[in-house]
Amino acid sequence: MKQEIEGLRESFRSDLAKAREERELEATRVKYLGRKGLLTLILKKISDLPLDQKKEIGSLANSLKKEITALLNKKKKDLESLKVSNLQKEAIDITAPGSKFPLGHLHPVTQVFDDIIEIFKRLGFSVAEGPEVESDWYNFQALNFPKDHPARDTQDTLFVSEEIVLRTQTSPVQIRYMEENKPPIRVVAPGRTYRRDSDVTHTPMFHQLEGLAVSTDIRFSDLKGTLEYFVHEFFGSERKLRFRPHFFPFTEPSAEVDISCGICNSKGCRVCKFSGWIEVLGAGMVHPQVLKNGGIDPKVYRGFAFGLGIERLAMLKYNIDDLRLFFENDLRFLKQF
Amino acid sequence: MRIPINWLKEYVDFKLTTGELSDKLTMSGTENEILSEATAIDPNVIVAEILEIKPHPNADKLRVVRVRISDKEEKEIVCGAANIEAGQKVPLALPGAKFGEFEIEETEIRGVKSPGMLCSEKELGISDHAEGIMILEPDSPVGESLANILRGGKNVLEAEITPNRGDCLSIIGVAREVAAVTGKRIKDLEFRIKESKERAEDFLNIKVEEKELCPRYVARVVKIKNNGKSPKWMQERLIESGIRPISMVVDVTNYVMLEMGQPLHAFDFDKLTVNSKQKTEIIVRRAKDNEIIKTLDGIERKLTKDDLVIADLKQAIAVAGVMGGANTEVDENTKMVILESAAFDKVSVRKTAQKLNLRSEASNRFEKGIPISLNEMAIDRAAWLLAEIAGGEVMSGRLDVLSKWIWVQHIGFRISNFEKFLGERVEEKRIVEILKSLGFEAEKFDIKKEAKKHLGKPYIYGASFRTHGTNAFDCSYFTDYIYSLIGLNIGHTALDQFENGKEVKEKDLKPGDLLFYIGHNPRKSKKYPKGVGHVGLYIGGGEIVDSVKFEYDEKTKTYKEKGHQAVHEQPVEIFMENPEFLGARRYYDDLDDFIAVAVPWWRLDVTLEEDLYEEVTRIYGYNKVKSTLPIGELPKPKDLEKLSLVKKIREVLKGIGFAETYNYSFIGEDSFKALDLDLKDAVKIQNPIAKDLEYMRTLLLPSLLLDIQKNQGNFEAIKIFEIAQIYLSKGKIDSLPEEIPHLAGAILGGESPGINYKEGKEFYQIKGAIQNIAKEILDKIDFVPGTNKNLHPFRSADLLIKGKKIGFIGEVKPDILRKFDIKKRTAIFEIDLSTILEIVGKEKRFVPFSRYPSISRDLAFVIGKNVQVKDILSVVDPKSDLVQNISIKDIYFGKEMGENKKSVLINIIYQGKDRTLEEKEIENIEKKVIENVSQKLQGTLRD
Repeated sequence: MKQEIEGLRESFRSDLAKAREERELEATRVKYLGRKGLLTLILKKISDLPLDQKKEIGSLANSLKKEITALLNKKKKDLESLKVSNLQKEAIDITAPGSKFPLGHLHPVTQVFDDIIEIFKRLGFSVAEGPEVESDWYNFQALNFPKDHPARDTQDTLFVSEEIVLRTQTSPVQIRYMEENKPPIRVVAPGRTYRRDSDVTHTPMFHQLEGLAVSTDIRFSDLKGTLEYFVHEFFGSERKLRFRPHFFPFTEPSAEVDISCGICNSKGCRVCKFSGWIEVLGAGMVHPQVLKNGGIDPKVYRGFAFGLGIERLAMLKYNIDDLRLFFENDLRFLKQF
Repeated sequence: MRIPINWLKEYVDFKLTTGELSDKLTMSGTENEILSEATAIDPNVIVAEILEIKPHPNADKLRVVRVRISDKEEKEIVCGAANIEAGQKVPLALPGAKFGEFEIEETEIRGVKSPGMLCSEKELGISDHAEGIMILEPDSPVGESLANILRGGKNVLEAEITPNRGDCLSIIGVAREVAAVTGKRIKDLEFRIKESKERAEDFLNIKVEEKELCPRYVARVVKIKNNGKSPKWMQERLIESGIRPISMVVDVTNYVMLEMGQPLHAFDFDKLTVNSKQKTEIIVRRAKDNEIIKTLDGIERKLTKDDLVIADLKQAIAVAGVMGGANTEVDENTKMVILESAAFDKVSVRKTAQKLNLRSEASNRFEKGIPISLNEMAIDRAAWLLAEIAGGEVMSGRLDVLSKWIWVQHIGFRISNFEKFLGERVEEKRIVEILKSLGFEAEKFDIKKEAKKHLGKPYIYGASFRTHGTNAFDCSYFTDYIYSLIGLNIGHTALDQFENGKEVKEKDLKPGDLLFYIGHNPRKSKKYPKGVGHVGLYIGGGEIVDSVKFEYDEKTKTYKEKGHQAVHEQPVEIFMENPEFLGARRYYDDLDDFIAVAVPWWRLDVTLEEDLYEEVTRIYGYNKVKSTLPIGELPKPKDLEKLSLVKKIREVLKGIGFAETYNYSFIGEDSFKALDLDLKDAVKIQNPIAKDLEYMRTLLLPSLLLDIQKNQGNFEAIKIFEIAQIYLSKGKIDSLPEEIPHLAGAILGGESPGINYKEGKEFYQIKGAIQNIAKEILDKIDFVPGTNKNLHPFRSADLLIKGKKIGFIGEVKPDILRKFDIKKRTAIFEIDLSTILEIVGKEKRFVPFSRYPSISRDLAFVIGKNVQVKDILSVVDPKSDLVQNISIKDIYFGKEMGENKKSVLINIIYQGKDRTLEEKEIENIEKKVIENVSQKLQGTLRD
């Protein structure tokens, strides 16, 4: 038996030398120390030996076991460090530039539109569009702006003819949508709008998103809640809202909505003109005559409507300080989005 | 509108700071800002006295002004204004004075140093008067800061008055708002005119020819001692309000306009044409076509018959509501004036003012509508002021031509409906309180009380509000009137009222129901051939109130005239037992829900119940209302297919490196001409901002070329796209153009990934982009030789889907690029998205794939240079079930290929649908492919 043990030592040493990777090392371990391993079998037999041999053989076998375990561990470590040093030879410069994939950019107006539409879709709103070159009726008269009414002064108009204008607001879509759809209605209408205005804070083309909800039980409080949800989703729930009475011919009552200034936390700064508030949208309950003009009975139905200026929202969201940048299409601007 | 706070305080007593007042007004709908330090006059502007004016040595139009700014100090200032003289006091801005962003510095003007600037009123922000230097009072203390003298600035609010609130274009109007938000009462104006013995009518007659355009014209005649400068307090208020003081008469008219909102005008009586009895006539008439009037600003204006004028016996003396005429202007010698206080049609004034490009403080107010009740108050106020300050004598009598009915707007306010509208309940008491604070009469509607108010008033047949007010009634006017108090129009005659109501059984009678019988001389209709002749109002407790002339006589079974004909109360049985009793009618189920509201005369904007809701809500506080989300049935989602298509395309283009642009929808004629585009298709804007923004785009292409041009200096390679509408005129001026969504893109420079093309890189990049789009929108796009005239004829293609043309791609012709000043080759594409929408697949559909291994093999051929890929592919195709895909992996134009040759590397993927292919099968196909290429294209397999 003694010899047997010595023989095992020899064969283990040669096996160990042959093992080049972890998998082989593990096989060697199993061969000698596994449940049915060669040394394990010997250790099992020791209890059957006569008492005098038991002690000697037992200690021999046990010391071999210790030796094998130690050698296996050492070899394992050697293999590991070898592996590392092999990988080390493959070292690359991770600070060198990555592969150049093309990277495109969506216009900030697109991104803001997408964000807003997403928010209103969650509240059950659909999306509609209407013509940009619009009749005087849809753009003005149906919205309670009679011809030669001072309210038209607030919207300097680009005319195609006496009766055809470039729409000054997305609100005509309200009328068109009511004509074609029965309540309950919840719809937003994004699009281009035009006014005869061009200076630091005005461009002759800009974008709006119109919202309209009509049902038998729309309330002023619903308008507040809907816009509050929108502002919190879009700007963050820490923003406060303020509804100020205002006048629009097509809503009654009408409101302008301010949000607390995010730049100075309402303490007052240049952006909010030291008021702590920034005006972001106009809204109100749909005027009964406007419902009528859309073919809806104001005795049965009520509605709310609102309009958002997209560039204004984008300026606030991305900290853009010059409106004209939106339409100059300078790639140094566009590539930041 | 500027609101000096001290002036405001004369009408309403409040204890708010300016900041608090400003906030309260803003939150109740009068947006305003406090004129900040920046707009107040800078303390570095001081009073200077002109000592001497010398010519400028180097400039004809400039002068050097020597001024004194203290006892010891003099300065020499360069100035270009012509209106100054030695001895005058003028404002001098010293270096360091700020006007907004602009700061005064010591400068040198044409070789002469100028340590400061003499200022005009406009430069100081006092008024819009920009001509000449502001001349100060002779007693202004030299060296004193102007701000201390004029007091402007800090205590003034600049309010934005919305177009519906013409009444707030006055200090009193704003004071009413302040009263409402502070709970204070507005003070009445207290003044009393002392009229002289002379009678206005002996000097003046008024004739209004156009009653529609001038529903009221009121005039007074006032004699004055002199027309010098108005008192300092008045001048200060005018300056604070942004109006330049001129003379007593003019200042008074402006003062009362600012105070009450009524534009006034004063004519110098001695300049008007009089008749033999020294009497003049004012005629309100349409102008004659081409009639000319020189207005106060010295400009001759040509009028048409659409314009309304004020004329005397000879000529036009004012453009009504817009501006007075120079011929009757008051001046320092004026001794007697005619004051005018009128209401002119708002549309007419607006049109004339717009046409003459003459928007004045007066026209601005007339455009918004002047309540006719204001005319007489304002003229008395002005006459009184003139008497007070100018030592005037007001002649007795107001000349007043009134052609319109002064009536009161009644509206019913339903408390429960308001709760449904608002989303929460506001107590009746609070509603009434708010409405009253704004000057409305408001009271819970009690029909019994209302009816009983009129007991005993006489019966007059045919009485109406217009003719008798509430002094007399007939039966149906009485009931009509009572219901009009809550804004319900139940009809004017008993027959109408019977037909308009809802039938009620006698046992269910409630106060407010009307009872009818045929009565004397009834009106008849088809439905009620016997007619309906009398109506009474049930007020509860078995009592009815009616206004009656005839009484039914049981014995004779006829109607007899009553002795006392009046509104009276009687038992309801009198009606019910009348053999001609017709029944009862109801008009609203819950009369207890109403608050009866009467609108004050100055609120022309309030006509609907919703208008009252706004009034109550804005004072109650928009921000007090809680927030909810809409309840009830959910609308069916309805989506635009276009939007999801556009979104997909955007994502594709973004993914391959395009940047999205947004261009104006309009371009200039130049762009149309630079390209081969027909202006006839384009929609033309009548009043464009600029020449280069005059036509609506018929293609997006020109804008993208302009974008490339602008960016080429900063970038080696450019990839851009835009999605927007184009507009095609239908030729008719008053029909809407066709709007078609388009997608366009442009590429300059850049490398084409994949095949390394030596030529036409831009084209192939664009083509690759289109192919990616095609994949995303689930259809195949075919490229056929291009036909677009703006594109390179040999580097362009038309795009087809299922044979239908959807657009084009290609390099822009070199000469067009030159016109756009683009330095490098540029390729573009433009696609009609509406056509794509009609034909492309809507949803992705899964196609099962073979799970057996596929084998990929490459074959390289050397082929003639001009052989097109299209032909190669068709020749290569072995038309075998086992070939899953054939593609061009590379095209190589090396010299080693030989002259006019190229190498084409073709990849073929083999795959069996139901089995693993054997090598032999593949070899057989390959052999056939090689054979085809060699026979049909003379191509050889490359080693």
